[in-house]
Amino acid sequence: MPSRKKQNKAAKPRPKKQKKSSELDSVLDQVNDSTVADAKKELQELLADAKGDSATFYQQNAQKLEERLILVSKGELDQDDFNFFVENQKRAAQIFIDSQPPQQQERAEKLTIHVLEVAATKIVPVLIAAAL
Amino acid sequence: MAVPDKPFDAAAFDAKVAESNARFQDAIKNEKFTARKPVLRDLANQFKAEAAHLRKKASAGKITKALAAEMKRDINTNFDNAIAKKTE
Repeated sequence: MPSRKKQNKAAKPRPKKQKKSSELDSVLDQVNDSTVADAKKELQELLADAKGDSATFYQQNAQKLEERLILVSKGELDQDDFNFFVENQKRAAQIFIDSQPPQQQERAEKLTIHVLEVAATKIVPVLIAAAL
Repeated sequence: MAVPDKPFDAAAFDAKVAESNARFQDAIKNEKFTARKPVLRDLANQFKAEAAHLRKKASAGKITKALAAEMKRDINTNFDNAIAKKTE
């Protein structure tokens, strides 16, 4: 009996996470520049893939990245700050990638270092320009 | 030390960073497991980089609440990983 109650509790939706995703979507909607349309699509796909993965590191990396992109769009972080955080995160990601089996390292690199670089080099400059 | 909307006290900031660096060095020196030393050195270097970034931004008066909060969170995580866990 108690286990059934626990199952019901675990099935509850997480409104906070949903709110954050929609907030990022609206931030990315500001990016109308056609030259970065592919990068925007790639970022969204990689973030969705990372958040759907069972590995905590991917989820945390995606969550931190989302939060920081939102802060950039609000003018709370500049390119310098964002680059700094990305470099820190890339260092942690490299340790994570090295700990993965060889056949999984390419995917790990894509869902961590690559997604961070896409955000820093292609999305953030446009977000900053839009916020000015 | 680097609070938005308050004057930046560089001397106090530098003293606090030096104190923290000394704690990192103690932690590295006293670490019994050789394999953990490079990890602690990496965390110590990360702390130095974070302090340098924060100082640069504070000196330019460019600390936002979000930046302060993010840096504080990162530095605390770093500190917990390097030092606090050892005293548990």
